[in-house]
Amino acid sequence: MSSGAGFSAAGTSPAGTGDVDFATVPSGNLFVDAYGVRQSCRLIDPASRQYVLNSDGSSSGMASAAQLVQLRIQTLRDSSALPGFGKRDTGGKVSERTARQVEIDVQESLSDLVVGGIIRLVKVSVERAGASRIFGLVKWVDLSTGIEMGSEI
Amino acid sequence: MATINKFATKTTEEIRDDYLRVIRNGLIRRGITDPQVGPGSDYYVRATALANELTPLYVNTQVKADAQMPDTATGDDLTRQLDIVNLAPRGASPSTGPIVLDAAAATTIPAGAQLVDALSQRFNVVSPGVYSPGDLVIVQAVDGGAATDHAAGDTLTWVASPPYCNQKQLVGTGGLTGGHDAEDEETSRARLLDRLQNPPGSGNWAQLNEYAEASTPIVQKAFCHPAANGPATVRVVVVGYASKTSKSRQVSSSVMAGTVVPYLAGVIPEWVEVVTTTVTDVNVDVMVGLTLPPSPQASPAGPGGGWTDGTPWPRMLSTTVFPSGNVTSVSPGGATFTVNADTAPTANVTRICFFDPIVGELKRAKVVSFTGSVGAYVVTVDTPFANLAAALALGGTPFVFPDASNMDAYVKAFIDATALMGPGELTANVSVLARAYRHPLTTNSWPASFDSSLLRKVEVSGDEVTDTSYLYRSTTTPAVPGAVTSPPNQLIPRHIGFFPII
Repeated sequence: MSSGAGFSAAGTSPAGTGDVDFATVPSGNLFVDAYGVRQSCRLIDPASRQYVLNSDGSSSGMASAAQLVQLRIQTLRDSSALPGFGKRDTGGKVSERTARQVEIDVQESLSDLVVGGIIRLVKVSVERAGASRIFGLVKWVDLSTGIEMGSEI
Repeated sequence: MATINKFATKTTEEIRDDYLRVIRNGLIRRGITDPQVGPGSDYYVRATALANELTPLYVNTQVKADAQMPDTATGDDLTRQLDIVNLAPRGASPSTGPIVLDAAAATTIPAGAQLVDALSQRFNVVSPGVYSPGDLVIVQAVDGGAATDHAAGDTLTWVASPPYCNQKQLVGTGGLTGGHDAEDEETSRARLLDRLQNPPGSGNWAQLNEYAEASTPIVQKAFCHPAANGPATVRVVVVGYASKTSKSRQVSSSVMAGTVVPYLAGVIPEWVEVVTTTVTDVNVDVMVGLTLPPSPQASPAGPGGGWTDGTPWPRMLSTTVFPSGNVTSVSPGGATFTVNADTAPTANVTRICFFDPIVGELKRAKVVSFTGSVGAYVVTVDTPFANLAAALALGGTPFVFPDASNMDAYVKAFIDATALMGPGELTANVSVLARAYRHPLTTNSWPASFDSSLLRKVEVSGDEVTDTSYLYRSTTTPAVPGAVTSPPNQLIPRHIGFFPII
């Protein structure tokens, strides 16, 4: 019996008659973070919102809870395939009430993670950056590790 | 080579979960012990988006597959399948029948003479000519539809009165019958399946049936009994459509004599003796047993969605107290009537139904008071059953029965199923029956008996129906007629009731 994909050149073995084979599993640094710790999901750059690759081309990693938080606060609510997923567009002219509204919107977007026992929300800090921009930071605790972390809005 | 035994499609969730399972297993294989693919993760969002795009493909494939099958095609797809085998959905057909000429002297009714009814529906005189007072003048509706049917004694009005005629004319004995609305999809489908199962050709029985059905849209279905009267004979039996207000399947004698019989005589070779008849209606009273979820008011409480009352009333006993639920007398107006029941209703609680055979509708009411005792409870309801007296006058046993959330659906499913029944056999003589059994077979399509095929329609009419059975049938299977030359019997529903299976 001839071998299938992986060992026989294409065209020399009838498709489907060979033994099932697997491609070689690449070893490496998949989902390894900046500290060399292997994480459970891909790192997303909060600024560029692109996946970050290691020097060897494999995906860098980030903590599971961190990705869950980041996707929720950086995704415009109802703009993805998941209804109700993401943070509302606080919108409008930046005013004294904006900070409070952002806090409400962040709490709403992360409510399922809080209810699900994945994180504990510590604080939402919002600063005005000009007439129409704000800078925000969400502080939260990953309940699986007890480590307090921050995510930019 | 893989063998695909099932037309499998995936739901959105299945596509998403399959995608995530592959990702998860792949990551584990690559050393990630607990990869995050749960709700809200990037993989999850991506998988959901992909699934959302793929699901319409699966659904459309399913829709198109159903559209290719004669037993599942609907709408234009069903029409297309009918076209392929030279069939077409039938439109509405007109009623026909006599008026009794009310005139002062003999008169000539001209060609094109028309009458109208109260709905301004027009009726043509079929045979213009000279008629005397009291003569029966056959008229036929210009437009089709069940609304063109009229009972004997109804009034039609001349558009332009012939000489000596009164303006108003009365419909004669037998009424104007045969009007029916455009064929529904299930009836079209039944004819399509019949055509596919029994291809007509070379003068076989299927072709004779086809001829009879093509003679007039008044004929819903034709049946053949080859050699029923001996060699070189064939009996063709035609049935008409049941309507909402009339379950009769008889085709009027004027249509038989004027259309169906001559049409067949013209297309069937002379060396075959063709006898064409319609059927004899046989009224059947039926009590159907249902197992439905108990009401939330029941003890113990049920989930609802089934019987409306905690203690459905009246009930049909499996003992000799028969039949529970039948009405034995009714006061004028239909608000008060006597019911043969073994237990008492509860005033202002018990809700009951009545299938009104006069208008073909389910009627509902609440019991507001009662007197009497076992076997004869005199019940007063908040909404009178106006036609209960008329139903009682039809003979048999009108029923009142317990209300249920979806009782409308059960009644409709059962009545619709009976509209696709056919006549029974012409003879019980085994030697004759060898050739003269009804074609198509009663066991293959167009059943002749009140059997489980009707119950199945009720069972599938609602997910909450877990069991059905017949509690009572005044007739189960049509008897053979007294003579092989007589029309076969056709069972039609008269009074129906639905009761809990105890």
